[in-house]
Amino acid sequence: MNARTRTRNRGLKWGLTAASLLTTLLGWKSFAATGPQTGPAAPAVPSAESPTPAPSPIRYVRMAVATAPDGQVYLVPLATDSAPAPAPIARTQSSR
Amino acid sequence: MWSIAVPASAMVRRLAFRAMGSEMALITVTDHPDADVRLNAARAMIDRLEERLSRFRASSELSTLNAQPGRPVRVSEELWDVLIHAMDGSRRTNGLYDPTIVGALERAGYDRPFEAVRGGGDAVPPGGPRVSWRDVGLDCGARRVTLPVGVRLDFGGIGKAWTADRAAGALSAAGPCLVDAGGDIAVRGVPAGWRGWPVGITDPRQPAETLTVLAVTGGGVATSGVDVRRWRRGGQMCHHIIDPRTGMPAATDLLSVTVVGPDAMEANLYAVTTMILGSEEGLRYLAGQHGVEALAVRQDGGLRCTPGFPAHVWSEPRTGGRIDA
Repeated sequence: MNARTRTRNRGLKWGLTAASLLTTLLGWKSFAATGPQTGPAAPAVPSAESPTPAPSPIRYVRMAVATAPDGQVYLVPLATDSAPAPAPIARTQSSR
Repeated sequence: MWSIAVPASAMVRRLAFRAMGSEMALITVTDHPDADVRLNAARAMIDRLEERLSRFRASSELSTLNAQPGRPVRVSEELWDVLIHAMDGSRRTNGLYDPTIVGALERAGYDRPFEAVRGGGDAVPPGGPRVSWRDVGLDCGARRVTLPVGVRLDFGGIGKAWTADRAAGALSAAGPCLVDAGGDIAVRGVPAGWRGWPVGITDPRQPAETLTVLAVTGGGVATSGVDVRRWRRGGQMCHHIIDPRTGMPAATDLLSVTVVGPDAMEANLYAVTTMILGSEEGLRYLAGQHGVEALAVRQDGGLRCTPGFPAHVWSEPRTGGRIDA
């Protein structure tokens, strides 16, 4: 390889490096300005302030309608999310 | 998963088996040295009582009694005891529970163990004039029973619940115990450190799900329902809960009723009665009874309960909000 060829290859290498850097910078700028344009949304990352998983916003509590002796009707819960019950040791059900 | 703190010295012992056409379980939490012996003795007691009370065993004492209408028959102490309790239940429910409805049950198609009951055939024919529990003759001094001609006895779930109470009474000598007789539950004592026995109520619409969990500290819990023991005849849905007023499967808006009471037999008695009366009248009726609370599941999925029922739910109940419904 002569001196002219080495100079040409070195120029090509620097050119490719510069083009790559420019592409990366332009891409970053585009992403930072508008975010990703396609594909699924990025998964939520727990913040540092809440290291434990946040509770589900939907807590289903079964309610029953009770009628008091004076005829008033109430909704009463059959369970609460504040004091979860243990696994049953037995189950009551119609005859099996 | 929530867990119960069990004292290190106590062990949960469970003996499960099949009897009276149902799954049975005997459970005790104790370090009593004879616990296993007593568990097996309680099982033997249940087997013996089944031999006395089953209407599907030709050799049972009940079948022998049913085969001798019109004449006084001396019966065992066990059969007498469950009969007296059943008759008292009939009196207190004004005949809504009646152990003499065997003919109506068979006419509806429940004429063999439920596993063998097949649907199809014509619609259930209406029954003619019938006698009732009031027509059964009892000679208390001699422990003799006289059944009118055409009358047979079947204690149904009451007999099973009564058996659970008896077995729990015997097993309690070893320590706190729970007897589960196919879903009818008798409890004696609570293990040290437990809030109660956690007893789940199966959701009749989704049997794998639990409606809620009770903390049972004594007495009994029973559920009656038309969600399992049912079949079709003549395009009509039939089930095993007969309304003695019509002699036909009860026309009820309820799918199941769970009652917490002073013992399993009382709980079963009031569960059946409420099933027959339906949600509105049934829960009104229960409100006038002492020491029983109930949760009812309607066929449309609605849940109704007596005002005191939430006190038996394991989780601390919150103050309910009044609604206009």
